[in-house]
Amino acid sequence: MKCEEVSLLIEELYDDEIDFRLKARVKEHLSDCPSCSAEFDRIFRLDQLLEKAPAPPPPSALLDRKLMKAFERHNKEALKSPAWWQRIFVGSVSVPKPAFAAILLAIIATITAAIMIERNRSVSSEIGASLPASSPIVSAPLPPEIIEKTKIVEVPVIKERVVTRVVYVERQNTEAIKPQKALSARNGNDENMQKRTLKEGDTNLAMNGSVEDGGYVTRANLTGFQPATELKTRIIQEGKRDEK
Amino acid sequence: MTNENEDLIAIERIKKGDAESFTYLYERYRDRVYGFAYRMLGVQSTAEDVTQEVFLVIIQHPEKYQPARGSMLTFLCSIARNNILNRFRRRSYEVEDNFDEDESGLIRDDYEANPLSSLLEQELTEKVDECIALLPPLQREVVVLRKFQELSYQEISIITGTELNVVKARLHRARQSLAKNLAPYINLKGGDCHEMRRS
Repeated sequence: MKCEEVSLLIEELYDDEIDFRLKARVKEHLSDCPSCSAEFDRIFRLDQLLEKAPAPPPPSALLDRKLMKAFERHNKEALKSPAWWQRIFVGSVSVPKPAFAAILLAIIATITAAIMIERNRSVSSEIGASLPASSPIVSAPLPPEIIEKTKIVEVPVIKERVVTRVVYVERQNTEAIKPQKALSARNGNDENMQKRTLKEGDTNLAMNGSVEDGGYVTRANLTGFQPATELKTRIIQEGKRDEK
Repeated sequence: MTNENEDLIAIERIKKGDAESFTYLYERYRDRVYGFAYRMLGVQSTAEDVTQEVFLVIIQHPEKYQPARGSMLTFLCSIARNNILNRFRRRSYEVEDNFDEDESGLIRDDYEANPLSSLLEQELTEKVDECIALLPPLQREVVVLRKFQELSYQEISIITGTELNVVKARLHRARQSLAKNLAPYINLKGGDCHEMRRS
């Protein structure tokens, strides 16, 4: 081994921290190399000198007492019974099983009732909104236990304005109007009317449209539609409808 | 039963409030922790404060001791070290490794001429103590942990939270510095160390 390599390992050898595979080789080098051997001696002497450093004075007895007191105080605090509200969180409050079961059942019943009421209310609202104003509102029958305990007032929400329509229907035999159509086509006066003619079987009557129905033509004049100016509110009590 | 197992059992009992187990641990490690703190800080009352705070951790948070991370002594010295370095920082000491620091001025001229003829044994010990105290803290701690606590490189590495090579480098520099400052005393004694080396 070279001196450069050994110089890095001398302290490890002295501290007995050297890799066992290198130990014999470093020792062998030291026995042959005066300078590396002198370095080893220097570390040894330094170590001997450091042993002359004065020992620390013993710690005072006060330290022992302080720590023992601290230990006792900590234990007292740890073992002290927690307050009732703390015991709730740590689960140390003993609840009788029947009482616990009764509480649990009450919670479940309350939640179920709330869900049922909410469901019925939403169904009634949907029906009320979708039906025409004159149609009777039919609500789903409520369970007897809910009817006994609760009073339900249903107010259907009218989401759209009702439109009053005045429809004039004119029904004519197609054979009777053919000459008129031919005449109109020739004159080019009724092109718009032809475009608006709907397919057979179509029940939607467009404004001023017509439907051909097995040899007859039904025409609807939807001009003059007026929006409603009044809205009526219906209050339904326990399935019976009262208009107010 | 090994010491580690005994320590672990003691910790488990301390968690349940067993005062005897705490006394056992305290008496076993008090002097080691206190000695480390004293050699680092050099003041008895401060070293006692550090020792107290280390064992307060055992009292209040015994679960912090993890045997997988090292021995009980390593754990206690780690806590002590953090406390000591915090004190150094509060006192605005230079904690960082200052490898260029030259403390050759430590040795007074009158000592260099013929040290042992002019100094008593007591003065020599004071000089050694002074040289150790004047090492930068990070070098001092490896010397204290290695020489006075007799810990391995690996244990020092765990306590200081540094790589093994860093521990070796700091120890080497600390020895270089001490050897330089204590050169007159080192050179004075003819060595019988060859006997030791050859053993």
